[in-house]
Amino acid sequence: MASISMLGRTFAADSLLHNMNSSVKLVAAIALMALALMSQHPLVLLLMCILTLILIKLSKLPFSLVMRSIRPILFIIIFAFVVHILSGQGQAIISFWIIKISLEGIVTGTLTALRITLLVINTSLFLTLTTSPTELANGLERLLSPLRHLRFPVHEFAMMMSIALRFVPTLLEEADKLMKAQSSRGASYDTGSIVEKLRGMVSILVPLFISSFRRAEDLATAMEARCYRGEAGRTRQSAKSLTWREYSLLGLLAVLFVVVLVIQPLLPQLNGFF
Amino acid sequence: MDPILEFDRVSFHYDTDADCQPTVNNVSFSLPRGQHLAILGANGSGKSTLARLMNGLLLPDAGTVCVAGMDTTDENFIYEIRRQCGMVFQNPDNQIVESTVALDVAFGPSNLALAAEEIRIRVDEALALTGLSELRDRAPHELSGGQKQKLAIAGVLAMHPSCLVLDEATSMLDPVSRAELMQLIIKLRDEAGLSIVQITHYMEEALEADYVLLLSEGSIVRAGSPEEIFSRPDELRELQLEVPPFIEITQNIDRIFCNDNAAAIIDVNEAAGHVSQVLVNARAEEFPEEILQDELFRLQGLVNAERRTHPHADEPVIEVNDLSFSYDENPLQKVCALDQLNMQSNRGEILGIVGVTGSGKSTFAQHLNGLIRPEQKGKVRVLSLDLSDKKNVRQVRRMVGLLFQYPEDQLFEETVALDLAFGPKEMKYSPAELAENVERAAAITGVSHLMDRSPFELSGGEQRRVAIAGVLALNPEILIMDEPSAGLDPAGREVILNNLTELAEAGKTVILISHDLESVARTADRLMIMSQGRAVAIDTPEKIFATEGILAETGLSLPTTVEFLNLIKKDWTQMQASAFTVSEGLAAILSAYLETAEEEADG
Repeated sequence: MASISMLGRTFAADSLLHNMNSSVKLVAAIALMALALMSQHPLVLLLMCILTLILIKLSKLPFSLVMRSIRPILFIIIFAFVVHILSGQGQAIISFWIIKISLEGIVTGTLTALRITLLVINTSLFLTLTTSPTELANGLERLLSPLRHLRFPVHEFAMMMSIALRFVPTLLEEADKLMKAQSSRGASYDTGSIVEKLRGMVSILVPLFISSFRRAEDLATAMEARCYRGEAGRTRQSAKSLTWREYSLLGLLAVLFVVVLVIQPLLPQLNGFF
Repeated sequence: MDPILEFDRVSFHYDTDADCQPTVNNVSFSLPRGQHLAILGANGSGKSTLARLMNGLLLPDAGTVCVAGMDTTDENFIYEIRRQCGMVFQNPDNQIVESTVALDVAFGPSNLALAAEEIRIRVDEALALTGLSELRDRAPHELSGGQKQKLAIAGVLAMHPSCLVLDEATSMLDPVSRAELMQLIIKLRDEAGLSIVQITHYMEEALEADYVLLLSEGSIVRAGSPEEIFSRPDELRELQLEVPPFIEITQNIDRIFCNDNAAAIIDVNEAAGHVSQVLVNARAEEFPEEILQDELFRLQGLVNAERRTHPHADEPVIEVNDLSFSYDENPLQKVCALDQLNMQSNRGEILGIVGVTGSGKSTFAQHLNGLIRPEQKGKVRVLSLDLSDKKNVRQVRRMVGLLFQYPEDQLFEETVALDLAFGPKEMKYSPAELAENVERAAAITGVSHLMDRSPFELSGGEQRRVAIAGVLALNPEILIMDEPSAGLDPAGREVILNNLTELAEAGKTVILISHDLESVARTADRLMIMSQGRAVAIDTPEKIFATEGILAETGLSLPTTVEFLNLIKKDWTQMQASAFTVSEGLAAILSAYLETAEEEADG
């Protein structure tokens, strides 16, 4: 459960990344996601990797801590890598039985794995590790505020998001406890047929749902008791004003888009070298 | 000036109550500013409903509730009422809205539309008052239960209230945090002049109050000072409550030595001084010893009846050698949870494992049924099976039942019967064996009559017993329970502890884990005191309490009754100071008196 209990946790530090305006961070996270997916050329990916390493450095968080965020999806990364290797395109360098491994397969597999890794690391670096759920919700509320004109309940949506994120660690701890408790009653979650495993999950999910409803009710009462009445008459969280940091990050992202969209197609294909 | 809180013939019932029995029935009282009110009542007596009426979360069906002169039914005042009358609830996890300590304190003031600068000042001030300034950037789940409750109080303080309502706010905390929170509450009352309404079923907390209301089935059955309320132990017991034993001992001493004393003495030091004085006076007057002899004889009969002895063999069922374990979940800090722990437990005994939060109790318990296996260092053998061997885990699980805190949270089936059958089914018991085991488990815990009910419609105490039965349905040899009585009212606690004693009498080994010495010491044959991942002492409660210094180093506090007897012991050195019930305490005092009298007669 070690990797799961890390999910959605914010680690406080006094760094450039921590102190950035959260709306800008949201935009940056989405942009970096798109950039990672669009980076095809090895050189562009290399550039993205270097940028990510710099960003990690700027966050002042230990490298190993940031890398932990890929643990929950390590399985997917490996799966993607293996599928590409076994896809059998190009000249085989090793082949036995029906398996053909080509250099091309290895390269595309590596690039795909790298893309997913970058995507996850940048997202968690910007959205969870350095930004508290409350800040994130405030950022989201400001970003979505034009939707108010369409009568979209922006404040409520952001508040909902913030509370959901705030309760992620609480619920994970509870799920862990329930799993141990039901295991002590003889349930096993790692052996048996799929049907048995699913039945086992019921014994965790039902109590988890019930307690979540109770939590929701308790929390609603507590919020009401603290004079919450929705957006009306509520002090707006003042946003961190945009400084050179935010502008340079946005500028950097713009440059990267140019690189990916305009320069990347012009780069010579490296396939010829193999 | 207006009283801060005034109830005038208030009644309330929930719409869902088909039988129309009001949850709060014709309640009237008024609380002057700066005063401290405690409301006592068993589970289901309407305490929480009463609290929710105090700030307009619920509105009365009849009568009026006024906060600082404002009627809660007047919509214009509702936010001012909630600002003035802040509320802290029972569950520490479910009242924190925001993702860091400082942001959460700002939640209330933000709802009042205060200026950002003013909010910042108030947050700093509230954090300083509650001692949380250092933790301002922490996330809620990184706080302990006690810290979370302090945060909830800070959130209220930032709204500059005049009254603080605590709805069983300490019931989910360990004794150390509970005492800390109590100190904070008293500080706020005395220094900041806040009015306090404290709803609780911990009697010691009510001793601090100016007034006490006793609530039963939604009505006030008695109101008065703590001295008046606690002078009627029988009445409290009838209401499923209790009187701290030292108060009852003092009253009985007065009765035995024919002193008239109407009001109870509610301060331990004062009570001990009083008892000592009564004994000294009795010696001076040469109080007839025959009366005391008779009384002692009667008490010893009671003591023997209360203390059920059960046979336990010298056959070890749990052996733990040199067990060490540390968590490495958080890369920033490695926590050593167990440190070369050695212990052994014998068949049929009740072993209490006691230690403060973080002493490693829970980690240790999880080693005993293989939830954590001794991979790192040391050996755990349960019923002669070595748990380093993964193949033994399943067999051990079947023979060791483990219940975590608040085990009722794990109930999930549609009926009690189905829930009890879950474990045996998973363990592939034959239908006949399953039925027999389920029936036996239900009979032991007294839930046989609830088999067709949904577990979710039962009372807290009943749910707890169903959860215990769910583990007993595997017919384990060893039952381990973490905080068996947490969150239950005194009567509910008693039922659970009796169930566990019966199990031990039937030859099962019972291990009780708790951070509360008082609750475990009465039931356990032996205590294992844990501190910083080690077992610092394993012995009978009597010997552990008699050995000075063991408890002081571990941060555990002595049971009040033992503390009280120790105070008397300063004058009456013959006395044995380890008693947990009223009769034991009285017997100890009387025999010390008689022995001293005899020696003086001889000498």
